[in-house]
Amino acid sequence: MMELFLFELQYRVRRPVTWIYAALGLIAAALIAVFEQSATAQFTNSPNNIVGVIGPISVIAIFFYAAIMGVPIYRDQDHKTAQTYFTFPIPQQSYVLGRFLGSFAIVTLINIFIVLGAIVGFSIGAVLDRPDYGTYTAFNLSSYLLPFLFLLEINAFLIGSLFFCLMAFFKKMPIIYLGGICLFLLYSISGNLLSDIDYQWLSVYLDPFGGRAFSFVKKYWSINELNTQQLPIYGQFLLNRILWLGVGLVFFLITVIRFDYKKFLVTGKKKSKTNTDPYKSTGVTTVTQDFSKQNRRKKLWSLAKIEVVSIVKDPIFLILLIIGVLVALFTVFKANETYGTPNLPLTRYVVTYVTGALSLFSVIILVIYAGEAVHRTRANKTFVFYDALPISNFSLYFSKIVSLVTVAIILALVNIFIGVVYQVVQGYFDIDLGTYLIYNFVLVLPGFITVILLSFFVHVLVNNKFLGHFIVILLYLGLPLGVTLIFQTTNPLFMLGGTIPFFLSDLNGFGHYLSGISWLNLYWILLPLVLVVIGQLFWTRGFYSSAKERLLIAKQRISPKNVLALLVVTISFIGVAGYSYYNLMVVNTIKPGDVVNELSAKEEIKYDRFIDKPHPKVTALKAYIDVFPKDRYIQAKGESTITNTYNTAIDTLMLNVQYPGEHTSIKNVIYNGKKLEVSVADTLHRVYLYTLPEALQPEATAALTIEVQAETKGFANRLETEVLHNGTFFNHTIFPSFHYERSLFDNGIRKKYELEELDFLYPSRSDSSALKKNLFNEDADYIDFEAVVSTSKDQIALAPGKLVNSWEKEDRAYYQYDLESKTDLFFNVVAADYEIEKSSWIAPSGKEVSIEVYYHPEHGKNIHHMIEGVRVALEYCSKNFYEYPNSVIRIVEFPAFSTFAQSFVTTIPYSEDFGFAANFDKAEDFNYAFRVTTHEVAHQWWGHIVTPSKTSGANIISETLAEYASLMTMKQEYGENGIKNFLKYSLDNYLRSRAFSFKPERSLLNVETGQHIWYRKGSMVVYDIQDLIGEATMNTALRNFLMEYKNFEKGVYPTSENLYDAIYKVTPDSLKYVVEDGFTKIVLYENRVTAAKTKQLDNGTYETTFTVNSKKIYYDDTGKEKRTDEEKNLIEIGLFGEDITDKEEVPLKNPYYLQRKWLAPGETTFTIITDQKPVKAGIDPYNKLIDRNSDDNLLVVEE
Amino acid sequence: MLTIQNLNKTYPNGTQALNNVNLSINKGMFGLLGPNGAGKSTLMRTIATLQLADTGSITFDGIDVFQQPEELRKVLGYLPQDFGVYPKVTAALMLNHIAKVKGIANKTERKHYVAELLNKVNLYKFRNRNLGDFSGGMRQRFGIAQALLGNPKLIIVDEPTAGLDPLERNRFHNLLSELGENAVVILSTHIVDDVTNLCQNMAIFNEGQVLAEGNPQELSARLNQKVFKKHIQKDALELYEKEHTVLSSYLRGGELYINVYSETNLGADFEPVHNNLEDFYFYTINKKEEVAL
Repeated sequence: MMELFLFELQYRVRRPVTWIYAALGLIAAALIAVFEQSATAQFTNSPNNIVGVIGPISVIAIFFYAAIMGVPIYRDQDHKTAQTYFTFPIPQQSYVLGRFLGSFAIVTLINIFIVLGAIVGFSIGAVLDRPDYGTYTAFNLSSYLLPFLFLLEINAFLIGSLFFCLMAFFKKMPIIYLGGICLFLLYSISGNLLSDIDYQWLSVYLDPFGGRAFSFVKKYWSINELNTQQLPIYGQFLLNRILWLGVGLVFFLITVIRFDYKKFLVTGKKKSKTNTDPYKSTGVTTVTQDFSKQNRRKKLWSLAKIEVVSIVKDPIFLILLIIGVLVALFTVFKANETYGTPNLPLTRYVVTYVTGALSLFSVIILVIYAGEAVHRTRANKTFVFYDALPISNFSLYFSKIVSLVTVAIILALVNIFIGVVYQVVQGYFDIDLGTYLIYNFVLVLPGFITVILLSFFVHVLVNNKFLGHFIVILLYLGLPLGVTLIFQTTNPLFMLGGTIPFFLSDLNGFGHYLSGISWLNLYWILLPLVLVVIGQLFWTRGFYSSAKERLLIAKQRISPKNVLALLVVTISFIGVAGYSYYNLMVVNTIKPGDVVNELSAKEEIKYDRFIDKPHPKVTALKAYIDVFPKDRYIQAKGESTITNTYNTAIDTLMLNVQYPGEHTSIKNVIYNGKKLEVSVADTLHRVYLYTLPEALQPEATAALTIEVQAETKGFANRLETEVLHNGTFFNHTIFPSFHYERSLFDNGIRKKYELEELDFLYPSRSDSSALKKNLFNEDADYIDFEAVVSTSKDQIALAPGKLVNSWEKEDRAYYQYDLESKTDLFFNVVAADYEIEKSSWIAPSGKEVSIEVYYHPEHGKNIHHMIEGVRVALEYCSKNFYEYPNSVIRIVEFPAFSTFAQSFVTTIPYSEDFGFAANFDKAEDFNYAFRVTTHEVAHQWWGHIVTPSKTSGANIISETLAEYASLMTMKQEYGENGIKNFLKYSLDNYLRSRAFSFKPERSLLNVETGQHIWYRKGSMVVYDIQDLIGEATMNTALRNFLMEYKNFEKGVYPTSENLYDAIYKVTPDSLKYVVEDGFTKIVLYENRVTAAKTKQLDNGTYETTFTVNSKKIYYDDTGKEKRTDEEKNLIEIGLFGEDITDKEEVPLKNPYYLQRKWLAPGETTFTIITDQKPVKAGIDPYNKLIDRNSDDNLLVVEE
Repeated sequence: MLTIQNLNKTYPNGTQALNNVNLSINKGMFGLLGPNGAGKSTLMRTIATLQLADTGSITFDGIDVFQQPEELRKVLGYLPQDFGVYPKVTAALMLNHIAKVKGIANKTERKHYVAELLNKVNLYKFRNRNLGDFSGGMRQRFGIAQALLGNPKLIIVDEPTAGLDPLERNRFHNLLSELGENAVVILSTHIVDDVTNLCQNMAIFNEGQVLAEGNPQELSARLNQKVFKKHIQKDALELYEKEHTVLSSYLRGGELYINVYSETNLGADFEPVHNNLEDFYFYTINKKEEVAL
């Protein structure tokens, strides 16, 4: 055995390819480590990030492992040495063991190189002066050693023994690929599961490589824990590793014990077809041969047919395809949902998910078979007669490509077929074949062709199957990674197969994106086609004995025809490349992240002095906005009254263009009837300064008219969603702003550009000038708003306010709106071809409010949920806070480029993906259409009637309170039970997001950027407070708060502290700690039930004794534990029966006993008597508190 | 007529596979006889357009093989020594495909012709079987079928009867000799009998060189009365090899015999034998410096 081990070792060490793998491992790890970046307080080289570098490499290394561990036995088979080897006096086990251990030693060597690469990479990173890459901590060997042992080595062993086993028993290289693909599948599935709150625990078992299990285990880790904790060699991660090490061992033992020489040598014989019909001679022995040109084409097809047959009859092809189809079905079934609620199986969803999953497999298939096509006649030794047949080199070469393209077309058709079948099975018959065809044949197929051409060329040139595949994979994974990391660009001309971004929508279809995509697809076909035409010269036909001879043959093949073909293809490529470059880079621009940052830094240095400088404020605005959907073009004129609210005169007007569109220009500026000429034009930063003819004195007013034009030109590497063919949505930034605001907040980046570091984004609450700034737009306080918006005749254009007039002129439709209430300078314009649903709500005062939904004609299914949401929220907020000030409220659908809804005064643009296409038929599914609607409607109060000040933490007045109102309407609609799932989701989201805090984690009172804090933690906190002090008390506090600050009547905008005080004031002293904890601290509970036992008493009742353990920990903003609470807390405990279901079959908890109790830290035991036998005992059973482990709050009661 | 002139080929490892080869081959069967590793396959491949030579030229009926390989391929039938197949394709489909490639454009004609051919090589009943499931003999017969397809004017068969049972071998020989009536057929082999039985002309080939060329009977006759046989002890072989030109040593009933070449009668110890082509073959290979005789 030793001999075999050493032989294997020596053989491998002498093979250059071993060292190539080792070097690649080292370089890959080093590169990824060098470019590892941390935008949070996590160290760039934290143990967690080291795992983040090594883990994925250990997955990609499957390729190396396959090449090394799969091959040794295969080698004996392939080189036909097995026959003789097995006759030597070596026990079979020694043979297998020697080979295995020898290969494993080599794999270990490669793993060591990977770890060395990571060490080198992080060390280089630490030495370089790159503040934007984060801070580094000291080198710690165990941070590398643990992932080496528990990820790299165990994975290598698992993969190695699997491959070894497969090869020993199946003797086919493709089976090894298949084994690898299956492992990879488990890895992807377990990755998908991580985002599923109910099934994520499965990833602990399903993930063969450990990375996902680690992600699951660390999901609630704070930044401090990520910085200090090593790979957790205990608990669920250890379980995962032991499990998969065990699987590896099983494969290993099976191979060692069951391996049998004899069986290995026997080649399986299938029963084969024999025709028994006797031959009837037709006497045809002489034939005519025709070598005309026309016949040549037929030959090409015939050759292609043989190739296609060879591919599609290959079991590996079928197995891959079947796995692909299964994965696609799994994906579409699993992923076609939002917030856990299924989406309707719309064609655009199904085609995206099915193709998304299947095209990965299609690419794998095409890469594998491109290699096969190149090497097939060589591998099966057909070439020795085949290459002597009268086939032109051209036919021989291009027949392979034709066959691969045919297979690609078959794959595209399978995509469509699977999608249609899925829709039909789901009982959905609104099948949009046009979308299927365009998606698959215009968007996806060209990508397949790129894969084919490129892989084909690489294989022709490299002329070695393994190396060829490796280079192709390197090009596909490495190139985009390299381009992104090193050049920091997203230019599709440099991203293999890259095209401009696009999105699919029911409103907007494929929109204007198809032409840009097609140009780039053409670019990516022509580029490898140039190579393929050149590759023709290097196609090996027959035998050649040296590289020199290959070159000689290549030279011989240069013919006028080939040169002409090359010229045509190259010129076409240059043409297409030039046109694409012109569109992307000349007409439009692509700014890599670095360039954008640098630009922002320069802008800040230049305009820093304008921060806090007096600028005019708008008091009234009349906007004339014309939208031209077909040309994606806007003309806008804003007639505003401006005033000076400062103590000093304003002599300069700054116009700072904020509109996202690149081709935005200020056409005209008229100040008190006088046209202004720009005095300083900074086109780079889009800042223009105008000297006012006479200064605007304090408290004086003036008339200002600004005309703006926003165009789009050619195709750009951006979605450009503002104006689409059907579905326009943009906001007040169409008009330039009057002030400058910082845009760089990452301290690393700020340091890099030598800007002052910022701990807070906003001024502090003690800054009196900031109290006078409107958080959403400091260019105005509250204004009077009017608008005339127009669009093409087939569309409806909307802006905030009551519709006062509409007319048509010159094939265009005009709509005039007048806003009854006042508003921040914060409005939107939306236009599309809509259907309208109207309803109404009567305010307590008797005022009728029109509820309107503007939606795509096919999206009528769920609008009643939205209307209901609007009505309930109007009712709740009007009753409890203040009457709705307008007589109209609208929900307006916009195309699916993003999934959000946003509340402008009277108008709520709502993504078509955010409820319009959901399937709420099952009552237990979360009805987010209702919930999001109530949240957005609540913003009419929290945001619009009361606008936060521009200070730290103030945004909770808008978001947390909208969340609160929404939760209360949900409670009213579904009962306390109904929001339990929502709270659980909030809790999970908050805990998971803590580690990604871009700045230190702030308390609710100080939060500036964390959505997980103002939405998720906020909703937990306010829900718990109202639960304790009572909803009515809470609402009184909020009403008082609103009355104090509404409409800027007080002359200041409120801060988070004002809100805090309002709630604190109404809270009884004993419970004040809850408000303090919630708003000013970072507090996590660790509550659980440790024991529960019940017995039946003589009178038939049940006496249950159960022990709960409560712990409350205060954390600092880095996630470090500050102290454990020693006070008592009022926490709910309870006993429950089996869950029951309501009349709509939604499962509900069934409490027999539920009470808040003052619990001291540590264990407390209760003895409770209930009439019925309890099944579960619980502490904080509804997860109202922020609890780090919410799964152990309920325990099954023993008897 | 096939004309090979001054053909040379040296592999990168230094092996001289072809050493100034000159041959003219007319219609009919031509045997290329030589031991394993003599360079026969290299020569065959070179003629079959699959390999380049360093220098020299090959022409066939006015076609320059190196300059116009595509033209030669149209009239070529080539059965290589060791070849593979598309495992997932049936014999009928593959032959049909090759027939198309060889320019047989008419569909019915092609179909009948392929069936005829399949029958000729005794594969008709296996026509719908995947080639991957063929046995070695069947595969060889398939190879023969594809080589014969389309009335080639130049047929090159490299060790064609390896793996065939005697019956199939005879069948094949008959087929070949039929074809030899109006095509140039080159049979490369190391089996002397095949050449004796089939070929009008032949060459003996070793170490990349043509050592002798001519009619098998004539060549064989060159050694008439110059070959002698003797029964010897096994340990005496070395001695005899020193003193005589030993052509071959062989066993008959367990006893060792040698055949010896001599210009003169060697006396009573040696028995004159009725010499055959094999003796000449061994003689030529051993005494290549005297080829000129």
